[in-house]
Amino acid sequence: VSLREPTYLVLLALADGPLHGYGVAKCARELSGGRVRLGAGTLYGALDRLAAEGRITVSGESIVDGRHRRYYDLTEAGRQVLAAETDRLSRLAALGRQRLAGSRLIPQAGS
Amino acid sequence: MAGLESWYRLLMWAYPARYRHDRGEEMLGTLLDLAGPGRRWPAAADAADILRGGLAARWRQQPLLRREVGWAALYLVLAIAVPVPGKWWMWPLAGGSSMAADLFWSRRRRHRMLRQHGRRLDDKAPGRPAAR
Repeated sequence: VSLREPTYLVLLALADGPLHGYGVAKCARELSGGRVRLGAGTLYGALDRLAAEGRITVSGESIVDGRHRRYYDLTEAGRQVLAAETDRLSRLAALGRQRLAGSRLIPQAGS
Repeated sequence: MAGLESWYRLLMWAYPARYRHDRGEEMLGTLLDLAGPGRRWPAAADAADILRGGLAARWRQQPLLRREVGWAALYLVLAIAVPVPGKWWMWPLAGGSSMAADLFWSRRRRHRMLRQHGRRLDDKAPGRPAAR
């Protein structure tokens, strides 16, 4: 299965331990170098879907500074999906590097 | 800050009531955290994101909506794909019955009726020889 990038980043954000919604969004932004900025609608859509698929679970709730916080954590299934997707991406990236290196060699061989 | 919060509450009406009840406070907290200090007005992209998320949640939660949209799509396909006599802008209006209307008003049938009625009228017309 290939995950869409926001979904992958949400899972990756949770790999280090439980986070609340804002923590996930902040971590996803940092992981993507500021490129992926998850809005609340997208974020909670992804969290709901992942929870329905059993890949994450709610690990706790608290109220901090009048803000309702709910913490999310990876399940074992979620961790497996994340590992499988990471393998897939790194294989793809390795293949990409290989082909790019090969294409650079062709003009040199001809000259 | 209170102004921003009420804006977010307004936008969150895009979500189903049950969802707002279960997750609304949590989502509002995240929205306010994401907004950062000094913002008095939701950003356009954030507002669009909330509306889209809300519609998606309604879509997931209510099979009824899915069914309605399915029927509407079928209706539109019928209305547009099936030719109906009249102006093109009348097609959507006739969509529900356009198939029946098309069968009834098919060009061939219309021509046949015109021919028959025309002949009958000719029969009765004064000063003209009978057709048969």
